[in-house]
Amino acid sequence: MHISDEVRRTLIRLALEIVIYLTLVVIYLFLILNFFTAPLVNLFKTNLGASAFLGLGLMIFQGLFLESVTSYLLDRLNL
Amino acid sequence: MFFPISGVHISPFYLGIVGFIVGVLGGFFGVGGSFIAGPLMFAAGMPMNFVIGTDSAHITGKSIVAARRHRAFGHVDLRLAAFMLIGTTLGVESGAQIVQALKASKSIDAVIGIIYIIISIVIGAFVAYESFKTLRRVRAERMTELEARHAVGFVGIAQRFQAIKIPPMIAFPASGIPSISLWVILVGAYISGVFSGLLGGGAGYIRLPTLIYVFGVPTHLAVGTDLLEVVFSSGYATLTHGFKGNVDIMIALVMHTGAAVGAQIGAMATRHVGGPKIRLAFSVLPIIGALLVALRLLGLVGGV
Repeated sequence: MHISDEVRRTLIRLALEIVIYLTLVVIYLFLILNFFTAPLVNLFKTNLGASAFLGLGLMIFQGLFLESVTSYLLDRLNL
Repeated sequence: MFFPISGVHISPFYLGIVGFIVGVLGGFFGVGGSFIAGPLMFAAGMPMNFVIGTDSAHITGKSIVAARRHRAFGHVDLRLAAFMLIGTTLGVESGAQIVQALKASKSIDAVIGIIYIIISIVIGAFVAYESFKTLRRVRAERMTELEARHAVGFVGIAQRFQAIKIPPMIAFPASGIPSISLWVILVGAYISGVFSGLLGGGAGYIRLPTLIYVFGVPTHLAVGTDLLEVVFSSGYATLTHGFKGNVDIMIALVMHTGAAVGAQIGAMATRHVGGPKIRLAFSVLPIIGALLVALRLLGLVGGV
């Protein structure tokens, strides 16, 4: 099956995007689980309001910031 | 792995896979996928109030990226989204208050579980019906898939709702809606908001059909506008359920790891393997979700 250069380029970019994004997300997750579990649990027990805002912030950071970093890295790789 | 906030033992691999499935399904169904994530979390043994709050948190992270992409493509009617936000926010808060009342009365598992079962069966049946009819039209009338989907759609419903003349009447030029009652928009947004607050996630399974069939928004704009509403509705649901102690943020973060990758693959896969046959095959998944909730309610499952 013949794959055009354009399709090949798109597939490589997509594969790289998934690998970079997954790596960043996994690193982020391990950092949170290793260093922030106890403070997060403590905050949940003592201040639900602050816990709610922090939780939303962590999700937005994971969704938005890491995706922006991925796009930046892909641009730097000129893909 | 023990998650101390909700006090449950769940395999992080299971959560990652659930997130991945939700991410992939989001691409195929064009909605967030919370209708399958909720039952899978509940079947794993999570308390129902944490299922609802955590599902909202996880969907927030996933939908932000998707909404940003649709916004970049110009697939969002910002004016409509802004008006809908009023009804959506009120609806989410109403749903969250119902959850609190059910939690206090200790009937949350049974009531929300039964609602999940009904919603899942309706979604599965609707997707199967729409896919089956589209396939039949494609074969019988030699239409393209897109033409057949438009023919199967409920075009007349939107015209009837646009004919309701309760002031104030407003126009949404970006969506090609010359005039529609603000109350139709607010009530439609409110209902989807209630489902978001009540069952978790963004309730795209209610909002997307509302946008297309009730308001008459073109499909490509409806998907982007729905995703933007999902960001706000699930974001607000995360906050309000967080204030009520219903969010396990650790579980949401683990699930989002799988969802992030699943969403990318789902978006790519729809370009190559989409279509009514795939949707017909996937229509069985919400039914499996309903079955899992029923099994948990009967005490036959409850731990992974």
